[in-house]
Amino acid sequence: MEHELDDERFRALIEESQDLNSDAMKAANEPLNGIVEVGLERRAQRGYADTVREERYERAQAQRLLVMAGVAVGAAGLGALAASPAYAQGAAEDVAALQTAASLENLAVLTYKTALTLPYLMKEDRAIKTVAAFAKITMEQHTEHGKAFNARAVELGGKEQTGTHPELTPVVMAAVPKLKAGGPLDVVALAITLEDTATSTYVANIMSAMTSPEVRLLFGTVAGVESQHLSTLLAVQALLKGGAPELITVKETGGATDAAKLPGAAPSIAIPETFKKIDLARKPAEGAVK
Amino acid sequence: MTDRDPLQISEAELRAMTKQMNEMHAETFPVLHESLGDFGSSLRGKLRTLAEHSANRRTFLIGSGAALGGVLLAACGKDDPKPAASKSSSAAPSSASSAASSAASGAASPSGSAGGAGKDIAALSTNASLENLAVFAYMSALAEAPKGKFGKSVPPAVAEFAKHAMMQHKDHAAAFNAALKIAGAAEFTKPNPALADTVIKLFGEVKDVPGLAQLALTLENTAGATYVKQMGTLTNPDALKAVATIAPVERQHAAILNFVLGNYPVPDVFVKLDEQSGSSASLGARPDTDAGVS
Repeated sequence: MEHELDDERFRALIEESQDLNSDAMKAANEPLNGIVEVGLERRAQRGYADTVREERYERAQAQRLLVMAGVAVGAAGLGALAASPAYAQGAAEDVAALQTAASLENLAVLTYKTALTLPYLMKEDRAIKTVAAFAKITMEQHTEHGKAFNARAVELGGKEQTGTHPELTPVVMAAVPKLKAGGPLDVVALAITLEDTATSTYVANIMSAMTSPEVRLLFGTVAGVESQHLSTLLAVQALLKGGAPELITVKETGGATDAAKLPGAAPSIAIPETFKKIDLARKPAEGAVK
Repeated sequence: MTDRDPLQISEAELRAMTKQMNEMHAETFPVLHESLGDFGSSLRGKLRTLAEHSANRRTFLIGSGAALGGVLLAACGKDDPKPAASKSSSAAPSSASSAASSAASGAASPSGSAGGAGKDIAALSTNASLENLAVFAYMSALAEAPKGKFGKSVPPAVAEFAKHAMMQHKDHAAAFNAALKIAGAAEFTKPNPALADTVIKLFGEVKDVPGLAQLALTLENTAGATYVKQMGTLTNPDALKAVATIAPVERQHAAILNFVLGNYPVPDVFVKLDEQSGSSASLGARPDTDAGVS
């Protein structure tokens, strides 16, 4: 049975989230429109779609030039335009990284979806309602992240990744029996691992010189959200372990948390790294479409 | 629920987790600092290459002063908050600061890469200024809290958060400044000049803990948006390492502040770069030139 989260304020939050999601590509495009400062000023006043069209045009022009050069000066001329294969290689690497990212998002969606069927996440107490609400909204956000990564992969000439991450999916599947036999802390622990993995992977991709500015920005706008999922889950985990589940609540699920009762160290526990570590980062091409 | 006092239990457990967290903090910072040192070397390398490859005597002279000027600038240390561009105006044309600022402005740059290095320096200066602003705000809050500015008492979690966030922002500022210093540019030790007056005014108007948390949320989201935007503009891989590893932490600060405020902690599907209000409160991604280094 699907868990009923019928609180009026929570419904409002879900609706707000859905509104956000319906505007997700718009929201994604807005920051993408901002990447105009490194030799891209001429694109500053244009929309993202224009930028993409321009890139496609330039790519086509480069290919035409390559052909023309081949006709005019033969093989030697082609050698002089070796930058084009390099461009193609870079785009291919970006596509692979985007597909891998989509596979991580798809896996996160699957995991939260599975978690929401667990009986102990269908209870009516406020903490559980809040955790379930978080799972539902986070699942929606991951869905939109996956769409954004796939949209960019397709724009760069790749295919959509509709599958889940090949290396991590068996790990999650193996954890399902433990989730069924366990409790909220088991779900939270698994979610922490997935959110940290996604954040770390995207941060590593940004740090890599292989990705284009546009792709880096997309990874940045998503990593900043995954890191918040991670932080929230760490706080929830600390409060559950600390025996203070009643503090796991937000306005929309029955009332704001009582800040005066929050353990002093709780906020710090939720932000354990001064610089985001990337130990859990997955290889960029691990989830590429074969 | 148990018979034991849940908060007492949680405090004990959380103290242990805090200890672990502080160890992680101490372990992580030197690694990033080292990485940013590499970044500074990389920027200096770009400037040196610019000088070596130029047939122009003036450019050569500028370049030949780079190493010495780098040392001079480094010797200025934290006492001189002037950005590299400002320092160059009072220095001899052949000084290293001139080389750095020329590259920063792109005026003497024959290649996009040197101009990119200059933009990176400007961006890093702005980033350091944002971190200084956050440190200033948290420090002021911690100083004013005992005087009753925010009410009779400040919840322990809020006070601890302020201390923890301030410490992390100090480390972020140190990291950005380390990169600037090694690159031969001046450290930026003042709060963001474009925002300082606004923040001081807002801080003066704060009368309670929620108001304080809202101001902190605005600063965290502003820093996060700035660094995320730079992910699409920075040219040096090592500069990207800095913003890539720091931006998620600022966003985490924002999530916890939202939770303390009673708001949903992850209100946005994607990081927003524009000015926002409410639970996404932000002054918007700041331009690279915000610190006055152009």
